[in-house]
Amino acid sequence: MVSLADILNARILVVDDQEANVRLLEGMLRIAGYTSIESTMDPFKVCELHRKNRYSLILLDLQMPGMDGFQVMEGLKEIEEDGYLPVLVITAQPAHKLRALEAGAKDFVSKPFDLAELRARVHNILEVRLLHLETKNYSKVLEETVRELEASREVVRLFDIAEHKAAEERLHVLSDALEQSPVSIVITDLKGNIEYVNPRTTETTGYTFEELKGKNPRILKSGYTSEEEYRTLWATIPTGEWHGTFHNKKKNGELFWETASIRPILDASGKPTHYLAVKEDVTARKLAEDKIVWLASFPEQNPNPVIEIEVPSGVVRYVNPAARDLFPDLQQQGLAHAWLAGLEQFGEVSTRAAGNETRPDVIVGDRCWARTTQYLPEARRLRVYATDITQRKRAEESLRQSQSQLLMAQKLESIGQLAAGIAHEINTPIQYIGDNATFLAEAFRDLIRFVEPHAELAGALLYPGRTDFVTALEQSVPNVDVNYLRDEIPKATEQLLEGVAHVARIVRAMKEFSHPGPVEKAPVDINRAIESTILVSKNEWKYVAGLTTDLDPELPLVPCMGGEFNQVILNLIVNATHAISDVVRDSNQKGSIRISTRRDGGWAEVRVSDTGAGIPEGIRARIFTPFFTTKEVGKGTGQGLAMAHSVIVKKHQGTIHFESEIGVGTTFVVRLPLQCVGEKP
Amino acid sequence: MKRILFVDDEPKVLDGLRRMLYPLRDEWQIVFASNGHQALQLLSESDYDVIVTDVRMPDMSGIELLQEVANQFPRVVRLVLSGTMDPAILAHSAPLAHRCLFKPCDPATLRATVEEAVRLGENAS
Repeated sequence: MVSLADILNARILVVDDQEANVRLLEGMLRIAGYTSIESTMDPFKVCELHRKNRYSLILLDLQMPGMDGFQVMEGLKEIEEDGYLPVLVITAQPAHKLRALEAGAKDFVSKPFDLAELRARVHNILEVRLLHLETKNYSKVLEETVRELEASREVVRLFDIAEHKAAEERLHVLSDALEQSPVSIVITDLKGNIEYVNPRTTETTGYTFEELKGKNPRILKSGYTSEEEYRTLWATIPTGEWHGTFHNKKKNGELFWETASIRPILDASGKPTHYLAVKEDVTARKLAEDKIVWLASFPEQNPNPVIEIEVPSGVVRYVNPAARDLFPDLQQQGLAHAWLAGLEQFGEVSTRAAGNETRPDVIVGDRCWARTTQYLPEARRLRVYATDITQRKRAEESLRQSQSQLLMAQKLESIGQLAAGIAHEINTPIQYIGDNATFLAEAFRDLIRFVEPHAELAGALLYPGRTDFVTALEQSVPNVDVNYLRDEIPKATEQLLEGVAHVARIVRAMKEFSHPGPVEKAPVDINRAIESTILVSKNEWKYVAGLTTDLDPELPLVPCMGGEFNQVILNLIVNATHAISDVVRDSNQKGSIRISTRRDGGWAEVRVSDTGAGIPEGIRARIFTPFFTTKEVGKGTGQGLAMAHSVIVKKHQGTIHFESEIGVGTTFVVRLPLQCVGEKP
Repeated sequence: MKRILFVDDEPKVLDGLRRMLYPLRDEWQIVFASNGHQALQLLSESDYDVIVTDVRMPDMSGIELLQEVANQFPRVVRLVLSGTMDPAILAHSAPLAHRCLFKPCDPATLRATVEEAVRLGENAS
């Protein structure tokens, strides 16, 4: 096998038109221990040099004036008749890598050079190269051996027993070598029928010698090696050596790659008698090579930008095609910093261990990007994987807007619902106010009609003896039920005034409810706010529940947004009403709602209790979730409690929770801090 | 004398109606009930020409009451005097009533409508 010394002594040619690069590469190779390095800056000389020196490896720059690397490779192909180009291309352009590999290059290194990468790639390619050469040489040795075998047969025929014995010993040694060989050896007759395979062959293919004997090696055909290839093979081997690669099939159906070198075995007269094939299973290597190409395709084909930035310098070391298309100027340093925005100082970055990290989103260009970074400690580079999340951000923004519109709509909806109820509350007193006022007007008219004749009667009394006068007057007094009027007028007046007061109270509560003052927090008498809310919502609950209050008169003013707080209390009252109406339904019974306030240390606590069915265990976790509702369509939007939660917790730094017992009822507890957050007591 | 039954759960409304209709005391005999059950009881005890009922009332709603009246006392002319404009409630009560009035209803309209209902009852009988 190939020793490290062989690799380090391999002849290497460096080809680059830039003197600085040549020196750098030579220096790096020497550091890596390579001893036999030559170089040229003239691409036209490469083929000539190679023909003379047969380098084990040529490091070839792709971009050179006059003759580029691809042209050089074409020239080299003519020299290497087996088509194996020991070429490692050097390129700064990722797009060239695949093309170079397709042109026959074995691997590539990226500019700028990375010592570790260069060392690894050069070592690998040399190892493969030397193995290849060794295989080739090995087949030559074997050919000699077989020829000698043939010769020894002649010898056996021609010479005496003693010599026969010596030949037999030699034969034994040689056949031992065949049997022990680490490569596959197949000998066929001129028709291609197998006469001999060594154990390595049976190991590789899974067929026994008996199964292979007399068969054509076609038995291994997978169908993946082209017919063209076979035609070339058969055209070549009667007179010369053929090198190539088969994609063959094992007995168990598994596919494998093997390089083969096939040549004729000639008898003493130079006539072919057999064919000798020396083959090596290169599946592992082939797969490894495929894997390199495959892996390299990932950043290259990634539709999202991938950028590799050196730290701490901030120099862009790699951009994939997607990033290059989007940001043509990226390799200029200035733009790299946009991608590093929000990351720690490079010093800190470079002390980090390797690993993926999600970083804050950045705006670059007119798009918003999510970043995942990956630090490569040895290379001291930071990889940035960027994803365009502009669309998502916009969608989130519009969702946020529509959510706030929805909250507004929910508020408007409840005000609309209340308005209908309030109208009913006001219609009723207005009805009796109007009726009483009408009555009073008519009563006044009646009374005047009653009083006027009496005034005349009083005058008549001044003329004694005129009884006719009195009779006439008596007849003219209208039929007015004075007793009725005396009883009813004060009551009518009283009820009229009550009605007016009632309407005034409703209108005031409405005003307080819907025009709660500033949007910012201000000291609010929450007892009064609750009373107003109870009054405006009266029409919602009065048919299903009685409502009692126990409001702590000592409760201090609470810093809060009055309008939002009222809305929360309204939502809780409406929910309590719905919970109760689900229970009492058509039973003519009423439930009860109880609202209390109290001070608890630095908190004002409001409790709204109902005698509904209680909240089922299964949905308790979800009741504050937006859009979650158990109410029938049209009765709830699923926003009420979500809104309450948002108002109390987010806007007031308070808490809202509930205590619920199935069949007994539910109490919602709202707690608001008496001091604003950040405010000194 | 025509007999008219008013039904409302708010006593102040009934008081107001009683006083407002006082001038018609010689033409109409007016009786008041504070809920549907009481109204049905009164209807079963003596004849009435017109019933005027509120809609949203506890226990028995105006809709249920009108339904009962239509079934049991079809000759009584049915009027609604509703405090609510709730379309769902109106949709249920309107087909059961000969006429619908809404609070607040001015006294002249109320009197005129009841008079019209009285005539309607006379024509029907």
